[in-house]
Amino acid sequence: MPDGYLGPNTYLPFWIIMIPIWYYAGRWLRTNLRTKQVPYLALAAAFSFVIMMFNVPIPGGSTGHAVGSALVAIILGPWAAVVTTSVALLIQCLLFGDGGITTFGANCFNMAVVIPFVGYYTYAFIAGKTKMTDRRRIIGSGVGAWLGLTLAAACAGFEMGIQPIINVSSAGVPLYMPYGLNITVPAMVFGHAFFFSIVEVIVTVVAFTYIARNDPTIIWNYKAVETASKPRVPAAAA
Amino acid sequence: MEKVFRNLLIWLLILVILVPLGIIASGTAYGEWGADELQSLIGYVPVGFASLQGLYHAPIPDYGTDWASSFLGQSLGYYAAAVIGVCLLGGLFYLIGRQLAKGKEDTA
Repeated sequence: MPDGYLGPNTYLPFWIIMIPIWYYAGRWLRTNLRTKQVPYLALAAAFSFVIMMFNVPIPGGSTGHAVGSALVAIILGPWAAVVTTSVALLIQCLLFGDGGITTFGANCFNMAVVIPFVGYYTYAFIAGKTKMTDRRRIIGSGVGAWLGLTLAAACAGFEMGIQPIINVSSAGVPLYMPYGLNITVPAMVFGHAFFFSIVEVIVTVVAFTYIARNDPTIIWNYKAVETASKPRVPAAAA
Repeated sequence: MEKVFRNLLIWLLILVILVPLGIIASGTAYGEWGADELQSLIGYVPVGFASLQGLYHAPIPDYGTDWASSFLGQSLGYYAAAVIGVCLLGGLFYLIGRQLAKGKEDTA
């Protein structure tokens, strides 16, 4: 979302929500990042940036893009994805003028928090205690990617759609986003659910399957996954 | 270089090579219209919207595509933007990551 679509009573709370999230995500990375993962972290941040450059046209003349942060969340952990996606969005915003300064907190919340956490926990729920190479994990990664991006889009639609309710001039004219929830939420959800989230699913499933089959040791929680998937070890070890 | 990392890097490079596909779609993303587009959509430019526009001017607007009108020219700009973004983010996270991961070798 560029500057001008959200009023201060919406964009400021998102900045306030994001500050402790960024702080904790940085701390998490410091505690958990392993040497072997460093090149992959760099790759993940670069990948996030490039995948967002692939604008996909949809019927009606609009465009949109995948984000890739569900994949990063599954491979390097949702907190790592918070950091890589936020910094990718920061570069987009500061260098290329894509995404507003005022709306940066909200954009990070939608794309660097909702997608990674919804994506990862959906994947983890579907995967259960299966092995890293199990088909349920592949399905989980796809469903997680789809749900993460589609829900993030619904959040953005909601944030924009409440503007004509909470930010109007004394004459009742919208001050920021002029369209209401009945238009913004369906518009955002439609474009994502049927198009951009499908791209997100393909990218996530292909890359996750490749990594899980060829070098699962990169995956942040592979030890816990392997321990939990062995029948004789108590599940509590996970 | 590890095989898996090398292959993922090759995939990333392929994405970079294909990046001009991203400018074929010429429409504006939902909720990202400029002032002129809002004017034609709803007949006015919301006051608050106008006051927040132009708050910040990015050094490379539109990912380097606005200097040319031809697809080739725009593609070159878009390539440059992709390369800048990839090098900046990759380099930044490699350096920061090395500091953060210091002493946490993977024994498995």
